[in-house]
Amino acid sequence: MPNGIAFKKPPRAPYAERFANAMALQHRIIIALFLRETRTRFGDTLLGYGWTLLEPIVNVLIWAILFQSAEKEPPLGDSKFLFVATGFFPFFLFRHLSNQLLNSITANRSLLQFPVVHNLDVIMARALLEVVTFVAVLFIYFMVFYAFGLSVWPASPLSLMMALTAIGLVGFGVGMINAVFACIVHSWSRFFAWYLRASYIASGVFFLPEQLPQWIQDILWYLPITHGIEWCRQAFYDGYESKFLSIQYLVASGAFMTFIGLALERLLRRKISVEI
Amino acid sequence: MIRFQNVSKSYRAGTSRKHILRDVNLTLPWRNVAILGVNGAGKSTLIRLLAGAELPDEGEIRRDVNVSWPLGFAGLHGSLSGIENLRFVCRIYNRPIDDVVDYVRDFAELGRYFYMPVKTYSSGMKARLAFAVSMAIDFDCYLIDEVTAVGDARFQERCATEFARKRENSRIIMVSHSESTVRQYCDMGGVLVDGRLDLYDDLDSAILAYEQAAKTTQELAE
Repeated sequence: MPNGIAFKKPPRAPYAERFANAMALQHRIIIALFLRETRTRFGDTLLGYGWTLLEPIVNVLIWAILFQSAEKEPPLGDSKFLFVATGFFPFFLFRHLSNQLLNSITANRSLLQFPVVHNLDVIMARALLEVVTFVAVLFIYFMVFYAFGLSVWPASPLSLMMALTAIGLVGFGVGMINAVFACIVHSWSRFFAWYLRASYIASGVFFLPEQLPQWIQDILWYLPITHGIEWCRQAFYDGYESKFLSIQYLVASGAFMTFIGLALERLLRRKISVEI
Repeated sequence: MIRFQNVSKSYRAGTSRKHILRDVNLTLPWRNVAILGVNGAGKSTLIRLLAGAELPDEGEIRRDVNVSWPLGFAGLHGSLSGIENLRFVCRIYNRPIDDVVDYVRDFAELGRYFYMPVKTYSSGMKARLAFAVSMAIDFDCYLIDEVTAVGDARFQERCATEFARKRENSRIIMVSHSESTVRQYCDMGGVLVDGRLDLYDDLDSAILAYEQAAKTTQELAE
């Protein structure tokens, strides 16, 4: 067996320094991926950006108009439009995170050929892009509503922010699990699309869980996103206290899903890397 | 130095499994190595394993040196322009873009296409850009999968010049079917056969062993 040119191994840096280096590397790579995704996610045309911005208003308007014909008052407040909007935006965040992360590994196969880029990096970069997009969209809507004289200021902004953060955590966790499953189960994206469609109807975008019969409530209780929407409404509407909401369940399931997602990625890493 | 510890790698091929490496233990020295093997032996997979772009089923591959991504693989995004793709690579490898932008544009000979989406490129242009981008980043060890496919004779000449310049500080691990290319760049060889990677101290014995292995495979096929 030939011996190569002796290669002197540099002494190992102290732990803290290695940790700092690793953090700097990951930070750099996530930012690079984020910038790249910003350019590629929405395509070359303005339409890509435009649809992301228009999607909420189109959805909310359609449903609000449908409900307008049913004469009843909205369950909360006096605007059906606002009621649907307070349910739609949290759901919008959950759906975009969980669904965009689903493709993050499969769509970035070629990038993962760069050895410095890891599965977690592409997942984190996408999540970051989704969150930034959501905040931007929310901000623009706030400004537009404000300009039209709609009073859209939440009763408790802090509480609303916490609710959205919790939903973000759930979306991230589910998205991570999705990203791993999508590599292994080929029809996973179709399966998840059905789940999303069902939970769009079921999660309380258009109603309050309390309006439903008890046995349905008992089932819906297990959907984390229903709690997220309830929390948002509680934060938004002055004087509304949800009897349905369990913040503990929402946060715990978000943390649990994230943990499961991270564990799956770790355990199945070799299997994921095979599929090209 | 790249060290293999109990490395196994296999693929499902139809109903059976194709073993590329079977419990391999070895140390690849920091030299210019030619990887030889018949078609389908798994040379490209081996290159990806060396890069760390793919993980072994079992075992570990440890690298003491800074190893490139598999050259020849583009990793270029079609809707981004050449310079945007370059920017991305510079970001992930922490190189200041300004230092290399002129070098890559000139080396790849893209002209104004450098600023246009990669999907408008011909395959030759894509390959030249991919090659130029990888040359712009310094590595201790470059992994090359079939460099001969890149560009015309003149471009290949420039690649050779570039590699000669890099030779002082870098080494090459290369997969190629062309004996002349291998002789030009490498001074030792490894033959990938039957799930083993046999290393040979000089290129001639590696090529001899490869030819023997190829003959055996051919006879088996007949």
